Amino acid sequence: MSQSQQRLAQISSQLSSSVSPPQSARDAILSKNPDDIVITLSMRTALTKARGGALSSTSLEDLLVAILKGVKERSKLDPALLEEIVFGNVLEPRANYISRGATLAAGFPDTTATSIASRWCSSGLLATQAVANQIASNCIDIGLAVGVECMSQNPDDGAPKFGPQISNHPVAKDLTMPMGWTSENLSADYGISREIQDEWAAESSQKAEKAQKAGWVDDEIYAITTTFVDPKTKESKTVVANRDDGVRYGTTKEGLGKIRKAFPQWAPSTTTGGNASQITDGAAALLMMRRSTAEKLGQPIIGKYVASTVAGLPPRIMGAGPTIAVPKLLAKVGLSRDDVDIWEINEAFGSVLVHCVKTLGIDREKVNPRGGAIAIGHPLGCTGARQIVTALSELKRTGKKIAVTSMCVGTGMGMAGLIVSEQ
Amino acid sequence: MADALCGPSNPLQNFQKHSGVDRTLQQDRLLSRHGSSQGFRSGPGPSAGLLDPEFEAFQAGQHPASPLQPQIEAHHPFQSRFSSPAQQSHFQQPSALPDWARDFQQLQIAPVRPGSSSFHSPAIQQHVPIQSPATSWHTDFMQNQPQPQQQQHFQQSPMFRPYTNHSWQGQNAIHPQFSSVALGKQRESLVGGVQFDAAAFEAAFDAAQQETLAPESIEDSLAMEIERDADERLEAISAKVQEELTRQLGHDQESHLSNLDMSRAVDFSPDEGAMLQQDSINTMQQDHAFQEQEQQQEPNQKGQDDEELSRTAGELLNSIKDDTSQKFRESVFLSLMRRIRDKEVRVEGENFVEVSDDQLSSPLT
Amino acid sequence: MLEFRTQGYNGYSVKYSPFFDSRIAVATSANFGLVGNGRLYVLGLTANGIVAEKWFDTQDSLLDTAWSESHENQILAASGDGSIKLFDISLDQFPIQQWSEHSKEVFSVHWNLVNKETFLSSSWDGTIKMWNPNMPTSLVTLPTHSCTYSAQFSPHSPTLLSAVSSDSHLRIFDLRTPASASNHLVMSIPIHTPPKMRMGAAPAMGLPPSEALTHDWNKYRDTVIATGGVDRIIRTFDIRASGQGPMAVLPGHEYAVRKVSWSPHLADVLLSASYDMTCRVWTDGSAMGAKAEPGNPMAFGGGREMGRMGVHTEFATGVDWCLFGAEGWCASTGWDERVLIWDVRAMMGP
Repeated sequence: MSQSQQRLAQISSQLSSSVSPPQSARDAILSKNPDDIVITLSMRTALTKARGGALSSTSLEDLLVAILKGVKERSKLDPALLEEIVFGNVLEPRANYISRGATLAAGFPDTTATSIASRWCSSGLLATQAVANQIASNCIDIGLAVGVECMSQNPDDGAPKFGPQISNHPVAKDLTMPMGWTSENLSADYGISREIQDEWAAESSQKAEKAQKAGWVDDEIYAITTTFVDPKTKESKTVVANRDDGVRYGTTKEGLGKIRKAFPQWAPSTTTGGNASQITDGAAALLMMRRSTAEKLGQPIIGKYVASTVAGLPPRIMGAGPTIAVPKLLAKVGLSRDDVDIWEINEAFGSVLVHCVKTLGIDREKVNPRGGAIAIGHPLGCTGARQIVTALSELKRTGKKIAVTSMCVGTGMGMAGLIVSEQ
Repeated sequence: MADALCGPSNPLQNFQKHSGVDRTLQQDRLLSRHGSSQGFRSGPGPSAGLLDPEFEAFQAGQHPASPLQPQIEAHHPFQSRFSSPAQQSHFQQPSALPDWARDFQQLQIAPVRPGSSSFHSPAIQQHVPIQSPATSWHTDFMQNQPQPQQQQHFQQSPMFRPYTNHSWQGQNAIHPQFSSVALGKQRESLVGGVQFDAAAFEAAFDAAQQETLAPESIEDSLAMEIERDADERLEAISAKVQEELTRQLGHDQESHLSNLDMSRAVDFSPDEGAMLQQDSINTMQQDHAFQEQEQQQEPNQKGQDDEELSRTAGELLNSIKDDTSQKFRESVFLSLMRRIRDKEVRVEGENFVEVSDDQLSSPLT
Repeated sequence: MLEFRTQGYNGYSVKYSPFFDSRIAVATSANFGLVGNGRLYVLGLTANGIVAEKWFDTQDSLLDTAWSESHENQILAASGDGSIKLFDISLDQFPIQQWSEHSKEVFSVHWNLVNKETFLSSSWDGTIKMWNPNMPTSLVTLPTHSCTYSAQFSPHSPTLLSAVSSDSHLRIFDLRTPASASNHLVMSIPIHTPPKMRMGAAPAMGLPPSEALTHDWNKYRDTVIATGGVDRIIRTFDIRASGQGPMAVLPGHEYAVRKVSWSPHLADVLLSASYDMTCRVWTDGSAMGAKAEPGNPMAFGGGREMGRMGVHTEFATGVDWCLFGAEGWCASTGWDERVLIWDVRAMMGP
């Protein structure tokens, strides 16, 4: 080798891009670092109809014990290493007691602490965020986020009776209004027709049908054997909840068009039972720790939690929550919407789905690829964690990397989270 | 730094602090300088503009990682030591108008229903971001008709009584185990406003009511139901709901129990699966796509050296091939590299020399 | 901005004389240093612009130059043929001394700023050598076993010296320690270590090792060193906390960083020259009130770019600050056969 060639080769290697730093935020987010908060187990129960579904007779306590046992079994983690479980839940007033009790009953030692995270439909993501934050700030090393809701068992009583201060406040008074009203407000304000909501709702069902039939959701679901009590006959039998039974095969826009308006009292009355999220029972769990911890323990790294954020907006149009939370999140992490491979936008209502997707200008193809809450249901506290479970499975299936999950939050907020798959 | 050791602090909190504490206000200044040309803001509300820059950045498909801030703190020590510099820096400028403005013009979601804005008198907006949460609420509030507002909060209007009752029933339909005491309690709380759950179910129940039954029997059925015990009524309605939904949506009536046990019918095309299973390539491909040259068969070292140099030049060019900047295009060094790679130039002694035609023994590709 | 063309020769290094603020030396090479000779220019800044007071031709490329700290007319040049030459600019043509111990290209020479009696050289042959100009052979040879692009004496301690190499390490040597088995090596810092995670902050990004091409000691904070190299990132280290990773990470350059130089006037400011054809001025974030650049995922420590000069049209390879006169003036050179003299303040934003 001549000297000139050697010198040139040296210059050439100095120009090589193989050791360049991430040229983009996307590269940086996809890089692997020992302090990343990684997800080593991602699972959920089947989502079953609150009225008559397989889990509809299952108490919160029993549902939690079942899924926690599943976590123990699947994670192969020494239970004594799990320092905290944060439970996202909306409707159970004594969720703190029940979750602590269920954790013990499931076989975790008393050294596993528990707490509750509650922010309506974002509770599951809030629980995930809480665990991640604790790990990041060195409060704990290993934590589990659980999102759970037994809508069959826990009534949604809505807002309490407020005193005069809240009742007379021009914005706060809207907190008494039901979610259906906010959905119609969105439809009215933004001209979202019944037809388009039915069309997108049908598509959600069709996607869910396809995913279910293709077996895509199999690796999401942890089957639970439980008791079902027939409300009519009072006969109880053992059932296996292993399938999202809310999915209505053969749903078409035309079929949905025949369903009566849910809120004729609130123009434009676009919401129906067919283009709104279903009432559902279910739970989801995400086991999290630092990458260095996972490697030390030999835990499989499925993906990582990157970031999440929340933003507030008027309660009367709470459904637009994702339209402010998502841009805020992407600005924080330095991504553009084109960097995102999959979007899980909670389908609280068809109006929410249509409005958020169009306003955010995101590719409809990338939204809820396995259907959303209209098709499979929205167990309130579970959804935020469920979306992550679904997103990780779909990212794996498609070989993609980045997902954003988001939901509107009753009382006027939006929350959004970013996760990366490493499968 | 972080507020609490173990509190739910945002892991990106510190990051956010690095990104500029005052950024929102700065952006607000920038935005108000551009004017509310987008037309959503009637005026800056108390929280106006708080999330706007992020939304605009988002809509513009911007990567916030680019240095956008031309302003430098006046009290920066470097600045304060020196007199104020004259020239503009080479910083990148903030991006142009976001493209949602263009989308705004193009977007037409649905025909506007003239009668539908009974209590929202502003014109129906397209799908645009909430620029100023407080403000849009403010606008709506000021423009809301008092009467429809009353209707919203309305509880005992005779017009709505059947629905109120219905919704009560609807609500309780999902809690078959409820005692009548609880039901009574339910009734009270629900009278205050139909809740989310009930409403969605209500739709289905209404559908069952109206579509399955013959029109003349609706009233009969309704009357009968009102008279019956709460639980029994609920069973009947919910069964009809199930029936109705399944009938409407065109799939076979299945008992919910058999749903649970049935083995899944997998209707799955292998080809589709294979395509779907294809992994995307993530690893960087080392693409040595320099031009292929016929190997010289010259035995002497010089020819070999030339070859190696030429190949090295090709590798160098390859590693910067994605750079399309003008400077790199016009670089004398890089054009020398191209010529060496292409064997137009080689080393002779202490210099680079042109390869003259009669010395060429392999065609250039 | 003042300009001088080193016609036919591509610039590799530029240094202001420590004695005369109007005198600048430039090490240059023909044919981008790949083949051919070198030339050491001695330039003078006059009322009529920059003039070449003298130049010396050498057999092979010149990759670095360093003025003597003790002799106002003497200057070193480091050559691609492994030799180090000492010139006296009051004489012509030939060096007054030459040393040829290195077996490969000498990438840097640096004079001891404290005792002013010795100087260092570092080479592709994986060694650092210390010399006394009055001795015909080197005093000490410190092996690094890796192509060493830059070596410097600490400006604060006469026996402490540092070097960065192709193996991505910053090495610190203390000549007071017994040579023994470690050859005075007291510290070897892997430059590519990600910064320590701080509570409440997002975990920092890590990078694989890459060649370090340049480094410089801070003129005010005597344990702080800045490094730059092929991964395009400038980092600062405190050698008292060598295991903690960098204190500041300054991404921004689009290609390798070839030269970094701390300001002689401000403790937090440094200049860089890069293959991306720009020279940039940075704050490392350690000054009060410094505002960090938003959004760059690699940035750490609060530092950021404050301005850049993009006039060079080929790789920028050298920068040096003017010690005297108006603060903020500096000189740069590059492969575009130009030496530019400019005011850093004019490159910064409003």
